[in-house]
Amino acid sequence: MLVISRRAGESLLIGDGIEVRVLEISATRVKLGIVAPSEVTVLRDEVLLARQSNVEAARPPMDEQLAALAARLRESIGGPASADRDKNP
Amino acid sequence: MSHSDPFGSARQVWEFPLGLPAFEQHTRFTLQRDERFAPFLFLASAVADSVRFICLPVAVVAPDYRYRLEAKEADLLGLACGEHALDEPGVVTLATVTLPDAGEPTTNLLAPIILSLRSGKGVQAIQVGSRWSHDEPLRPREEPACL
Repeated sequence: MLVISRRAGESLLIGDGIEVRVLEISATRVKLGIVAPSEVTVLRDEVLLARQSNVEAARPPMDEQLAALAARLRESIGGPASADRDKNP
Repeated sequence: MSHSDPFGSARQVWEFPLGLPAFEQHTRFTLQRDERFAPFLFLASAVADSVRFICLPVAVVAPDYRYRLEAKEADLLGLACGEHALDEPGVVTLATVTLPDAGEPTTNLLAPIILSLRSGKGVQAIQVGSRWSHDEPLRPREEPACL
């Protein structure tokens, strides 16, 4: 990983068309300004992870696989009666 | 629309005004139960049958879980902005589950799905700086869970 130190107000350039500027630094956060061509997608990493996770999760699993895992979970949380407890959260 | 029971009817539709990340066009979902697969639940798109998420109440896997709602999410749900615990009345907190062909099943605690019974709306609230990840191993626990 390339590591570069910058102060507030300073920038770095990526390729020909992307500029990342440090706008503000506080105790726990750094505010960045990004100038990039419109065809470049800029995402916070947690958004990308959420998108990828949803795409994976939307795949239909095998019923047998899910039923077996459900049975193990029911056993670990106190038997079949516990499955009804979340009806009235 | 107010939902007194999140599982009351297969026709009961939850509005997701923002959709879900990667499924932004899916703004209406139903929450379905099937006793064969309890405690898993199914969040199914009312827009396309092929989109369906397996979910678990977060309390099953992380009873001490807390999450934050940003202002936009809180406004949509009719809830307070800021940190929330799982015991809040009128709120259902779910985590999506991934079952890979090979490997361990995981739950996404980085981006919980929050349903507000009062508003009938839901959001997937992506957490920033959370200690939880999008692929927490799903392991049956030894001690009983409090739902």
